[in-house]
Amino acid sequence: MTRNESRQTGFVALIVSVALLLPACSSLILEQVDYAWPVESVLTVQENNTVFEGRHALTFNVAPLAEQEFHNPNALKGKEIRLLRNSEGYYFITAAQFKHVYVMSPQAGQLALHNRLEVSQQGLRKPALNQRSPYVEVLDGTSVRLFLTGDDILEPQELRAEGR
Amino acid sequence: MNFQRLLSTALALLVFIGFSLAQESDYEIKERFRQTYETLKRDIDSARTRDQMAMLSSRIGALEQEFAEHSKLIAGAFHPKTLESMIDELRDQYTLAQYKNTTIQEQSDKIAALENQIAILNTQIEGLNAEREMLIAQLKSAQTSLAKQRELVKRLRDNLNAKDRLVAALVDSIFLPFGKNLHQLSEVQKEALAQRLEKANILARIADIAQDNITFLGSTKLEAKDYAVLVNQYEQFKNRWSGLKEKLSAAVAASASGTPRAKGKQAVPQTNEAEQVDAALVEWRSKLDASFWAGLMNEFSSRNVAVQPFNDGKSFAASIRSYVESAKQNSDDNTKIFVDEIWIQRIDKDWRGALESESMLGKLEYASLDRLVSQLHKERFNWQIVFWIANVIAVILVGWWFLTRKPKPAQNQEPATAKPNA
Repeated sequence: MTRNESRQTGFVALIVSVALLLPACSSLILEQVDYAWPVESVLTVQENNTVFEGRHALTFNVAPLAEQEFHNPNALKGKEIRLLRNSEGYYFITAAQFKHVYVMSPQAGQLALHNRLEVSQQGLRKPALNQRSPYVEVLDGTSVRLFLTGDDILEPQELRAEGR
Repeated sequence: MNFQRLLSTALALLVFIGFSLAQESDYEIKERFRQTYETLKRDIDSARTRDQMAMLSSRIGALEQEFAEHSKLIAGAFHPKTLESMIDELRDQYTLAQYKNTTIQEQSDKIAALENQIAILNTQIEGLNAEREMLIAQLKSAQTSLAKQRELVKRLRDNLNAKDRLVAALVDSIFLPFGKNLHQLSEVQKEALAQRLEKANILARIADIAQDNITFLGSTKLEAKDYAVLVNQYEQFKNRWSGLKEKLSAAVAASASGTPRAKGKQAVPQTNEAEQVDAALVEWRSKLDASFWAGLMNEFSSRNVAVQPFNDGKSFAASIRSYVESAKQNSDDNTKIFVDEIWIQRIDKDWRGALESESMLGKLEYASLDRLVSQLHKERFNWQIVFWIANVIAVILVGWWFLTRKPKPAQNQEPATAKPNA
């Protein structure tokens, strides 16, 4: 066997090994997962800009959100944010004066922005998030009523038109 | 016009309210339920009257009805609890509260009845106090006949007994609502008990009974038979007091460690009064003993029978034993008086009841002395009885012989009549 032939044989063996190993690593998948929380959590932002959700033992820092909405990382200190997880597992976050609902995806040690949905041009006054699987309903008194997914905003009329 | 404006405003308001209700968030529903639920729980705990309880029952029903459509949301929000389980919890709590309130109501009724009884007892005790004063005054005047004095003594003794019983009933009435174990009472209950004892003047009344008995012993001339009753009365009082003292100490300790108002106000006087009762008991016993043993000694001295002096059960027993031993050795002439007149006629008949009390001599010791004295009785056997019995038997025999003897046959006379024929 020439040196080139030997190299080719080794390369093929490596490819075959990797091809066999990769599916073995990612073959276990649990399906029909529903991450939906029944009710939103209303969390008060602490002095260190963190919130703590006791029931699900979740804590994170909201300074980047405040920076995004108000251009001030400390703007949410002492205020309440509203947090709800939908059936897909995205976290929906909003608060009074927010113009957006932030859709966050859980990552290793962080929540990454999946989407930023604009729900009010003037800013929400008294927002609330309701679980209406597969949607998250966002309310603001009598002025706003929208249905959100991780990527989209739907008006109630659109849902009715879809027959939902 | 105004009516139309009012109507349109009302309609607008209704529409607004309806819209607002429709817009209520799940979080608000959850919070409203939680607050109503917790308020209800608190109200059930604090409810006391039947009306309050009835209102609560309907409020529980209304809560269940109002949130029935949100039962799924509530089950999710309060997992693992559900609307049904939380309503059941409320109903259980309600049932317990109702039972508790019924018990409290019943106890309140009982307490009211006891309070009434306490008031009656207090009045009766006051009445007895007045009668006691009158009887003692009459006894001290010494202007009455012996029979009248005996009657007065009996009435006074009955008076003291009645007062003793009434105070015991008063004490029972006060302690009854608080149960047997005073150490398990709350501070508030202990404080209430201490106040009731103070209000009823219990310790002063008990000290008063002991003092009355001391006065009684000092102002009356007692007979041997009186002592059995008096010794028994003293023993009963002493036993009741030792039991009561423990309870009172617990109550006094509670009032001392209780509220600042109570501190120093009740503890010191009540402790002093308890010490007064103890002191009065000592004096009562001392006077009773002195009177008793002096009276018993008088039975011997008044009949010129010399026995060693005694002032308690032990010295009395020693004295009697010494006398009997001496009489056996010396064949004393006074033995007849000692046995017949003193021991059999007086001690065994009138003093025995009191002497057999354990605090005086005791039954065993009395029986031992009685056996000892009966030996003396046997040794002093009266031969005259034998003489008289022999006489009686002789008379009977003579009489029998006389009545049953045969008449002599007339043989001696017949030859005399026959002689002329010979």
